[in-house]
Amino acid sequence: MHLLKRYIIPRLIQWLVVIFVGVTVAFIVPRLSPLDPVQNTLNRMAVYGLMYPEAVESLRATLEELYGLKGTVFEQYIAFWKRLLTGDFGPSLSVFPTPVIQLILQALPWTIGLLVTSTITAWILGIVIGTLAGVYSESRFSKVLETLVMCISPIPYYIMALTLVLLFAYLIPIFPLAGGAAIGLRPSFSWTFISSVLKHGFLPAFSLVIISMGWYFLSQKALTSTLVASDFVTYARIAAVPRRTILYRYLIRNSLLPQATDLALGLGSVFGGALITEVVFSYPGIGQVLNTAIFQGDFNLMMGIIILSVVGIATGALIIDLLYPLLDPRVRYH
Amino acid sequence: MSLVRAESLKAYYITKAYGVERVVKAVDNVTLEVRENEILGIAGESGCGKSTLMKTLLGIVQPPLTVVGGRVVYTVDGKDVDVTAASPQELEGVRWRHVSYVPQGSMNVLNPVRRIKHTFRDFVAHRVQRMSQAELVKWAAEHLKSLGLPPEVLNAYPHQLSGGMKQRVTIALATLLKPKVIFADEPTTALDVIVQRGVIQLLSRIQREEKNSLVLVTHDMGVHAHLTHRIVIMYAGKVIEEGSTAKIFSAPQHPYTQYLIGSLPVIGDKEYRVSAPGNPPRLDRPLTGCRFVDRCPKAMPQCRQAAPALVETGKDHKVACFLVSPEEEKESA
Repeated sequence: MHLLKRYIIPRLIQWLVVIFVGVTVAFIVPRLSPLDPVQNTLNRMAVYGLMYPEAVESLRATLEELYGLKGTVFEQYIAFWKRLLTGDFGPSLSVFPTPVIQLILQALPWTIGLLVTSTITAWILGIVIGTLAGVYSESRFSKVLETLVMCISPIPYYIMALTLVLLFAYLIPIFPLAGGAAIGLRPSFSWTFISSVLKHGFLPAFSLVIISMGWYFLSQKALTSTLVASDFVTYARIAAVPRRTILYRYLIRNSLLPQATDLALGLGSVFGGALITEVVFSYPGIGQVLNTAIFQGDFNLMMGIIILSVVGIATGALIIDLLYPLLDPRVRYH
Repeated sequence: MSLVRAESLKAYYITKAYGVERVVKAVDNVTLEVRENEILGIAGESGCGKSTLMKTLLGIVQPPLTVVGGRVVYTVDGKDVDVTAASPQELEGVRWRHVSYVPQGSMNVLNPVRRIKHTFRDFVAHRVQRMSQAELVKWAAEHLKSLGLPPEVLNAYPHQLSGGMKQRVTIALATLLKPKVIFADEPTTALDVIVQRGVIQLLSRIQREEKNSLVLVTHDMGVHAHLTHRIVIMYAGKVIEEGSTAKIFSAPQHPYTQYLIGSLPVIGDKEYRVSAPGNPPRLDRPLTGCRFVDRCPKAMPQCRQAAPALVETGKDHKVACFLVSPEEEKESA
């Protein structure tokens, strides 16, 4: 009860505030843009032929209603929240009248599958290798590895992604060039479908793992080398505590505290999609949808994705906040 | 009989930056022994090499610290183990069973995310024959109780304990397996005087009951007077005087020791205390002669040419000073 009152409830409130602010910003920013989506649509229509002024006016009213641009900004804001709370992000403007939520839900499983897998893989690999490199920092293996990471990390992601596509999908066609699964396959739990998904997902996942692993590796190595010199690790070593115990219970366990936060935020940002990855590999995820939305001036779709991403990151931070007392006993008692 | 011996031990900090080698002679030609059933104090000011000496005695030598000469020998069950040449596995075998270590009170030596009972398990479980978790906790609880700590401590995390309790826990960790020699590095530093007294009394009680040996490194002469049987006085990396605590305090022979003892306040005595003028020499420069010569009121020309040898001047009393004996220190390789 005490824990609920002192720890959980304040964090839930914080979570709501973050989402509220984020969504409000997502509402305001497009309205500050000089683009007028209603006028845009009317202009597009005008290209096809002449319209009577009365027809234009009634069309404008209908469009404003549909786009949620009717009335003063404040009225729009209230209406916006009303729709949002019922899970309605409005219709997409570019693929009118498909609801935004439907487009997002179509793309979401692809993105989640790709990013959750690659984030977790990169996190685990980075921590394991980073810890070993931090403990045996004088070994040749560790030095070679660090140099390698130092060389790969600064390569701009899009260049590496394009190189991978060129190498393994075009010059040596081991992997397919585009898509999330072979064209014509229907999602099912058959081996044909799953193997096709794995084959299509490997290159984008690989490129993501390489890039994010570099960061986890370097941060873990730095954390470990600080911990190796810490009083309690030195003392455990003097006492000849078994090496495995020191590695798992002393080094990795203590370095997990900051790394868990990193992982949670990484997983939270999954909902924003991986824009460059999905564009380069033509992967049918959220990033691809966002790309289309930006180029077509589809405000509703953009806002839908931004809101989802705000909720995702805030929820990731909330979950790690709630789990943190389990990881670090020092947070348990205030 | 000696349990731990240092023979002409030389431990230097050797660093290299941009091709320039810098050598700090923190422990220079030190010979001493830790006998059975005694409390040996190592005294000296900050930077005189006492902590380095202890690290080397414990066999914790990591670069830039390098043992360039001499050796450290443990006598384990009648057999000699050369610590300076031993493999890491051999060292792990003698640690905590033969020698253990109580760290400085100010350090965070307990894993912050582990309960005390798990730390106990980490430290001893692999050294005892098949013992269940429950048995181990019971054993640790009894041991803690005998050191004046409630068994609930075992379920606590380090941040929930006070500084004094943490220090008692580390003493409990170091004594659980009843080692022959316990090294304590400034065990009372950073504790307030009341807790200091508790820790000192605890250490001396354990020593009386277990009849083991305690090596106590501290700059606090009060602690030495209370606790130790013999004292080794270090100055600038060398042992300059060694003797029974009573002798050192009542009749110090080296001018440095005389200053050291003379600077201690005495209750009721309002006389001004004279301290040695100047500062200790820098240990990263080549030094010849007696290390104390620049501060010594009785310095002679001879003191600048050669270092005096540590010679026996009476029963259990050794001094390195030309005023006492003209013998020069032999430079061993």
